[in-house]
Amino acid sequence: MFSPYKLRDLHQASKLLLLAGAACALPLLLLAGSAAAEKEAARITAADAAPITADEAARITVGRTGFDESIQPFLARYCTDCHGADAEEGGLSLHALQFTELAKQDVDLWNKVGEMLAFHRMPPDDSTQPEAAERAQLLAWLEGQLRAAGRGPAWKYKQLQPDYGNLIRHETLFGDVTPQAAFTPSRLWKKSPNIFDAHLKRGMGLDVGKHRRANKDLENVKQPFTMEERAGLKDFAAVMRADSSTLDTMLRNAEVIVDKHLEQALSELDARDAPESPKKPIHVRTAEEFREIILNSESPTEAALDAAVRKMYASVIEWEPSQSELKKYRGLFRELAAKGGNAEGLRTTFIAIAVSPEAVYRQELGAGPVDEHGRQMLNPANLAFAISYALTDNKPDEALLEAARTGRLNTRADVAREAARMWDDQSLEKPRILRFFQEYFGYADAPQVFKDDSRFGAPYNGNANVAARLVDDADTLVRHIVRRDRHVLAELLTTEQYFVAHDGDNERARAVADAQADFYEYLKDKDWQDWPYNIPKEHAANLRELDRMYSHVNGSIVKHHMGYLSECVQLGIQPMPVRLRREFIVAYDLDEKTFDYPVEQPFALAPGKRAGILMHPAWLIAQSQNLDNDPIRRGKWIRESLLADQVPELPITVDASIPDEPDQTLRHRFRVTRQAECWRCHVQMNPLGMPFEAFDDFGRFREVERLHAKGMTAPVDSSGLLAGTRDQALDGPVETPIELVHRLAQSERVRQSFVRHAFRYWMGRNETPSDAATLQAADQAYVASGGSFRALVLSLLASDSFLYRKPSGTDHE
Amino acid sequence: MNDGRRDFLKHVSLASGAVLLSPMLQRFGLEAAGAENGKLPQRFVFVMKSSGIIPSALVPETLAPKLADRSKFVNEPLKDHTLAPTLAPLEPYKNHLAIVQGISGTMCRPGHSSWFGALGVYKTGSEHGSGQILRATVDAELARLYPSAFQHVGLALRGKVMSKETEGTLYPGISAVAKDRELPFQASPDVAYEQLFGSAVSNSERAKMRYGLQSDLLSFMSDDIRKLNRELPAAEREKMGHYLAAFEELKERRSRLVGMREQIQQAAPAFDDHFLSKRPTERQQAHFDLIAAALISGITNVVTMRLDNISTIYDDLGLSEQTVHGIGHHMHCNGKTPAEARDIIRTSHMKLLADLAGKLRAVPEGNGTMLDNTMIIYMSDSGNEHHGNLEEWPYLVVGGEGGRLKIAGRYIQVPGRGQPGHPTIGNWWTTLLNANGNPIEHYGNLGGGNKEAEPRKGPIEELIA
Repeated sequence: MFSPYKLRDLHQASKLLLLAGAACALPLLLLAGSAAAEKEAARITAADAAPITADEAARITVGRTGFDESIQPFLARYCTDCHGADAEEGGLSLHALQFTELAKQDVDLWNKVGEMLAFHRMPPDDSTQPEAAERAQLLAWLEGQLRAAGRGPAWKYKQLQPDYGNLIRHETLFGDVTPQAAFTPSRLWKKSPNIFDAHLKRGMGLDVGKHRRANKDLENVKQPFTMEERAGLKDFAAVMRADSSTLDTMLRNAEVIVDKHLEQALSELDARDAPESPKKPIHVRTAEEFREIILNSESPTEAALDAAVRKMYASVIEWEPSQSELKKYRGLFRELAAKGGNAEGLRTTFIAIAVSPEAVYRQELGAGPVDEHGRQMLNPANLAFAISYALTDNKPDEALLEAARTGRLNTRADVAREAARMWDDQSLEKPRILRFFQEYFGYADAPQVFKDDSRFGAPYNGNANVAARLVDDADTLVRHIVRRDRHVLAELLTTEQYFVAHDGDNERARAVADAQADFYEYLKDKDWQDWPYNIPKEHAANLRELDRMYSHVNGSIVKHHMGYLSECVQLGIQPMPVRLRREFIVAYDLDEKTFDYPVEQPFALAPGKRAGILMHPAWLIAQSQNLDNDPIRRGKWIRESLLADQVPELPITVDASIPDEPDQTLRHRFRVTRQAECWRCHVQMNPLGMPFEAFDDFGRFREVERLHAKGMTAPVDSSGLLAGTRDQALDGPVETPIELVHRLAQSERVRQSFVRHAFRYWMGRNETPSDAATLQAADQAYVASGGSFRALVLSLLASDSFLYRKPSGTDHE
Repeated sequence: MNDGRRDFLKHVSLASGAVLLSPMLQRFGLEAAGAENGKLPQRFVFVMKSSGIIPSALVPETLAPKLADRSKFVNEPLKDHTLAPTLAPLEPYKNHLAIVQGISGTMCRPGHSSWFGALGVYKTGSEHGSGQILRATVDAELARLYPSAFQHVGLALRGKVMSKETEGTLYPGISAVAKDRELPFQASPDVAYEQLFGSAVSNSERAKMRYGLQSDLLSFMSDDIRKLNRELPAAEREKMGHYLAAFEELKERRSRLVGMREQIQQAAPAFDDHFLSKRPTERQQAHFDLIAAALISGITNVVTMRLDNISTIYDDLGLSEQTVHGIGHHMHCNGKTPAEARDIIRTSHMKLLADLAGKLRAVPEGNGTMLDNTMIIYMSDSGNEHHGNLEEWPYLVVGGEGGRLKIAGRYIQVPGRGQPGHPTIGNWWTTLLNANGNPIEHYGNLGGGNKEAEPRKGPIEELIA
């Protein structure tokens, strides 16, 4: 792969990589290609991308013959020129590989070969490419062999995992590719914890309106759908599974919910048997459909039973049962009622509904006619849920359900129309949008990183909850930029306009400021400092009116507020909202004694020093260690999330620790990663992460670094190197993080990486070659609209990848 | 304790199961389970700590000279030696203690965690991900040999090796009940309490009827999901299979819990606030109390406990400045050297083991006590260091092997890696499996060990009684 052609095209930044030496097969491939060569090489066809089904795999000849007839020639033609007896590129030779050895020592090696082929990472761009069918055949053979050796094909596992999304080469998706019919494999998608929470908040079909009692009674309902705690995108259909612990919780929940639904009727029934027993107060009325069955000793009619099942379905599954489901539950009820009577029979039938697969999994299997590509479109009901869960955690709203019912959710245009309607409806909460940015940038993980109060110099943990406050501000910033919807990514990366202690609503901020001023004015000449906890009656009514921040006011609150407000008046600064604790502004290099709070926000916080979300303290803290910055993690994030490359995993033989040298800068201590065997990976991370040394691990700007040795400091060096945009105008050394983010913001590669991550989030899976058209269309929509995130997401939601399903036998290991 | 929690615990739960009982089947529990093997059941508690166990830390000072020659098989009685200082809490249990050293596991992934490799003997996972599940891990294989109502209980202080999760169901990536099926671990002691013992509370007629109806429900759901599964694509069939298996497991559990109510009531600890504590060592103690009660009541024979992970901060041991990760990376912590900090943590762990051993020794069984038939295996998923190279994998075993092995009371050092007769963790787990009735020729992947020689297969004969 070190062909002369490649070497000629290596630009400045990539030359550094050569330091890594010849063993560096993977990183070079990632970084060193010229865009033109990559595009040229990325010709993909449909057959190439189609997953190998179990049947197909079985049909492939596995054995000696298969090896001699297909595999050996394949290796000779495409691999052993570079990885042969005479040339061991990357220290790798496939020459000696024998068929018989596969089952033994070479399993890992063969898995690597499979991965290189499956993700189109080999052969390199400037080499002859195998035909799609050849590639597929080799992969199928390898898969069979690996299975026979008791191992699975690791690449199939990786294809499904969020961590390996970048393994599929960028050029395979954004190069000059032959369009294919895109689809998502037919699938089940476990409901997310957020969907469950939202469902619970709506009361699980119980009326929570009047007394809010049902909600309280539902406190015993617990979250059954755990989600792995991990950085990055989380909710992938392939990795979310229900197991015995899910069922344990589901069953416990079902009893609580069903009992609440039936409580009133069951208690009336009990009262008939034991009229003298004390009555419990009942807060939730049992629906007529249920009462009729429970309080009647005769067997219910089919219609009555169906009505009851429909009602419970609407409560716990939030959809309508099919005819066959109605029949199924009628059967179950009859069987149970024969043993336990109507009431107990109905109760247990309802529990069955509440733990049925429909209550756990969103079923996206496709329905209706199969098109010429073997795909089926989601049916209107599935589409309604898919659109709704794409933007919200709620079941489809009435308009969406109505569209599904009346035949107006059958086409791409229908979906686009409904998605746009929901996006533009300001009254509709769409938490999924913000959550994408939280997961993508990872800033919302800041509270997970433990930090000391003492190093912060102010309360950090406990009620001060500094990290959480910073995340709130970062959320506000994201919401603001998404609402403006112009050059969203570039703005997020480079804006110098921030929010501090502000929720983005300037009108509300003004009202709070006015109320605080009134509060101060009313009190300033009174002897509030001497007031007891219960403030004098003559002032109470007035203050309650004025203190709109609290529902009640007392002596302590007055003193607390007035202390700060008087100080601000003396200093001639606008006070911050008094309802907030103020410690966290230290992270922005602000001081409550001098911070003149801008009521109108965003505002220019520290022009020339701080720009964009990557310099927001929430991001810097989330991407830091307990005691220090984490330039590796920051660099890795940029490499993978913005530059769409995959940093190889930490080699398993490495004891990754940096020397404990209290009198040295962190940058200096990281010099150990410059050893050749470390640097070939670290070169991809360190130069991107080091510019953020301009901030400490609380996100505070600094020009000198305080060293661990007491009293010692050293000047900060925030230089770094951008490599990997594939744009010579952008790649190169940078002096500051601001320079770095401005260059990133101009990169096509970075923009497309953003599109890829949005794709993953909204499809709940990694990209495959067949999604190229979807990705390119989304990218074009984003560019054509001047960087509208709305346009990007709506393009994704109207894509074939979103609309179509195709059954496949991708039975991964 | 808050009211919500109290109500929750009072709630008769279908999931936990053992409300009542068919008069046909009397006392099933302990004796019956033992009868299946003709012997008393053997119990296993796998205690998986993070950040490695430094081999030298387990060596009695007076024994060190005998261990220098790594080509020898050393098998010394512990009674002649004083245990290493941090092992002092186990002095009273020295007859039941085995220290097993020198076994290697280089077929697994070195680093912060070998994930499923530690108990599954193969290489998997990455820095943050637990990777593929190739087979049932050895703890699950052992659980299969001694079936119980809660076949295999997973408890955890924390989840994956670097995770910050501390509540609810977690997946630490160390134990699997079958290929592609990870064992769920419960991290909240209060929830675990309810799941294990909460069922033994109600006795009303209505509860009995409901229990019966719920059995019908479970059968109905199993059949229904099987039908549904036939219509799903292959990959999704496997996914739904997990949910189906959950129903099957529950049916199995309920049939086994029949008749065990009294035992459960006797063994279950009173619920108090320590089950709600957030402090790491109190929480570990709460989990260990659950383990003791679960074993004594007979509702399970195998527990795997994820004792801590490298994000744990032992602030209640006075080690508030560093995570286990920081200490593992040789950071000083609250004025202690990294070695001192490790000693403090190890001593605390040994107290937990001693406490559990004491509870089991107080329960008579056969001619001895429950401790004679329980192996508490203390180990780390990163073997011999914070980033273990796995050339050595130390084990500390408290308990007895029901006469199946001959390691109790011994310090054992096998020939080192590269030496003739050197065994790997594959041989070690094969030893346990063979001794307990699984005749497998060799458990786990070969490899590691002596590179030149043919890899050793089968059990470590020297350890089998």
